[in-house]
Amino acid sequence: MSMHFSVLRKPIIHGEKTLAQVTTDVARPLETRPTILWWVAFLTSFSVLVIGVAAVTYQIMTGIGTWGLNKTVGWAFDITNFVFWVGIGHAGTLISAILFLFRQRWRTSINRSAEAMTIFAVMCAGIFPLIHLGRPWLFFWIAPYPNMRGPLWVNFRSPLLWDFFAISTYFTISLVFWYIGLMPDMATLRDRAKSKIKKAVYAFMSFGWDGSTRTWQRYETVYLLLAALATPLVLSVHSIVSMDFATSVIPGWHSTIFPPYFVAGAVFSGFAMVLTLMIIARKVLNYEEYITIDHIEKMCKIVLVTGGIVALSYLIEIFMAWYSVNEYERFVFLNRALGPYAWAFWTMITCNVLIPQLLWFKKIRRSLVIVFIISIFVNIGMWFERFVIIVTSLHRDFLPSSWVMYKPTIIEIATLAGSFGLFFTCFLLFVRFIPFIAIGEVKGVLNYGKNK
Amino acid sequence: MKRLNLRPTMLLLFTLLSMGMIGLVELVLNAGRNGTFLLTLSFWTALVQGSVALVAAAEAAQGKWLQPIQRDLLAFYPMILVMAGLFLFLGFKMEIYPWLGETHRWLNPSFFLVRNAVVLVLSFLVAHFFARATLQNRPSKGTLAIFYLFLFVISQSLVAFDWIMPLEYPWMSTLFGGIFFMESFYLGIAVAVLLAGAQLRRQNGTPSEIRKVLRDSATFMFGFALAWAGLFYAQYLVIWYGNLPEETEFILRRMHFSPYRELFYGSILLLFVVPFVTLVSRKTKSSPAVVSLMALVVLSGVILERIVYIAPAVPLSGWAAALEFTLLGLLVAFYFQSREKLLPGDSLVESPTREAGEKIRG
Repeated sequence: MSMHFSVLRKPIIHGEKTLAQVTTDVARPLETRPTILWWVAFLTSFSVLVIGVAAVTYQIMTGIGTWGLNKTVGWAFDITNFVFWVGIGHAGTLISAILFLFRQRWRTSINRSAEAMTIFAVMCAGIFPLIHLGRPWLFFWIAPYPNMRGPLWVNFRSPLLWDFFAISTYFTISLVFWYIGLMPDMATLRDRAKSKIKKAVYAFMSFGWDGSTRTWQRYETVYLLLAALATPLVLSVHSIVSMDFATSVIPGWHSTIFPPYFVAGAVFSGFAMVLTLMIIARKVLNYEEYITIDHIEKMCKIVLVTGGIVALSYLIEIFMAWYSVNEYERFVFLNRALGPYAWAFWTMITCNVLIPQLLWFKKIRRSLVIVFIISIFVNIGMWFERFVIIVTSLHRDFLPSSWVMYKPTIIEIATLAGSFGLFFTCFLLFVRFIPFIAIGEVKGVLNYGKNK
Repeated sequence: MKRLNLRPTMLLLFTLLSMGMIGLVELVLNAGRNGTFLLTLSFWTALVQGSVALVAAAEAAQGKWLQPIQRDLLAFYPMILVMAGLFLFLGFKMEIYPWLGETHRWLNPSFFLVRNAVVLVLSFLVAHFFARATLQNRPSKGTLAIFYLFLFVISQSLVAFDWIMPLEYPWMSTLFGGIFFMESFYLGIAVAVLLAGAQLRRQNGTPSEIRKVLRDSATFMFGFALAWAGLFYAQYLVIWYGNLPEETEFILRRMHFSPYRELFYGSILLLFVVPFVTLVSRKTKSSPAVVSLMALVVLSGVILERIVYIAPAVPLSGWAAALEFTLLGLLVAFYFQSREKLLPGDSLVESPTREAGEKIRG
């Protein structure tokens, strides 16, 4: 049958694919043996994870004195990593919830993997405050529950407690949202499975999905409700994380713009990570017709917009420090730009403000190699942003006698590396065991922009 | 309403007359209550810039939902120049700012007037080219949309950081600019709702295209109610928690002392509680009457909020505000009704893309 293309809307999925072909294409990596490339990637990330586990075990047994913290810089690498990973975890739910509500149908090719990325990133984020407790086995003391410790009760006025609620809620909703979306695909895999064990596992995971109209109707209602629930969470989580800093009265931290600025930064870094992963995955998994160059370009535009908001926030902060005539605020920003950590500040500006400007050019947005490099720079820049915010505001205390420098120890570096190991190990396992693309949703947009 | 459709020369004459009257009121008759002018200026600038910004944002995001009323929204762009002209009157009222007399590189009268006027005029020029490019479906419309949005953010940030915030100098909030340009957008959506509602009434409520615009705008209004609350709360919480006297005074004066207290809570009610509770249901989002009412609630909420920001620092005059709002309201109506003469023809009607699309859809 001949196919016509709409002049109004571009097709989302390229190639003349049938519904059955979509299923086969998406299920292929799950039904074939892993490639050498996958094994190399998996073993590398798993080895890095093992290093991280060793570092974490050592610091739990020895204490957090193994870190480079001192009496002035009480937060540094750990909280930087925590904020960084929470930020990375923003893109998935944004793609699934907000873009869903905005009827952005191109999201269907990338939502599954981005949501998985969210879950793994939030898992990585959770490690850092947990270790920072010093006695992580008592972590449940953060939760308010009836206890026998007399009047000892959690401090509801502490933003760290808000973090606990915000992140655990975000993780739960993201997981449920992801899982609900997975159910029809699990049923597809169940129906295709040849071995009994696989069939049983996928049957269990699909919760008895029968594919009837009624099931689909209920699924769509639940999906819509969860999208509506997840949307405010996307905005609230990083706002609350920003409160860890903004509610204090430390120069450089106490700023009302922090909540929206952190949210924009989170989406910025989250999309950069999605770009990094998608550019590799589409090539390795042969999904170039599903995750097309148009998808990459659209994500680049989101990176450009959120990067613009981040740049505007930097500018407003610096401007306000100058405008306020507050000598402490002015000092913090001068110290950031010209002080001993100026290298970190200028790395941040280069990676987050200057380099993303290249994305204004369509040619660059459509060049996979350049976009991949830019996305890596943004990830580096956003890690440095958190480092700059935390360390430069702390290392110059109000009392010059307390001025110190901070240097991470090998244990801290190994823990950060380990978190990357955990992230990539989980992601690689995800690629092998769960459909990378939402089969049901992609089938819904298969004829978008095409008139058959 | 057809009587409001003026010839360009008459429109120019009426514009100059209105500006002259506002100048007369502000500089001669109402010289003591200087806050009124700032209220008029900040509200109408936000409204007209926000209306055009909404079209620009839809264009930049390649959103098609606004197309049936984009011409109506773009009709307001000449008002940006009117606001730039009116802004110059502020030069005669610089005594409202406590920073006057201080030596500050940013806060000095001539630089203050020049930068704001330049940004407003630039914003008008880009809006002018953007409106033409959009209606004639030129390829440059996307680039111009981004330029306009860029200037819109700068302009509304200046409204916040330059016009309103320094009334209580040295009080400052880094989020103030963000709140203002978000609010301007919120106003743009409210205007879109009113225009879609009016179009629906003109066409006896039948066209489903306009109904869709109304429903989508209502959804946006609901989202912006939530976003407004988020930004308001972010600012409030950071200041409350920090508990620094130089920061809390601004909030305390508005929150704890009558009559501002009532207005303060009233603005929260109108900008968040009422639209949120009303528009949460799908049914109300589809009702033109309810959605139009909510748009009016939002407009009133922004006026109330601006009063809360300005009045504790500089007194307002009720009659002067009523007169200025009436004059500018009439001017907006005139520009809207004369849009056929002021704006180029809508080339989308005969666009080959559209024709081809319709052919395919059968």
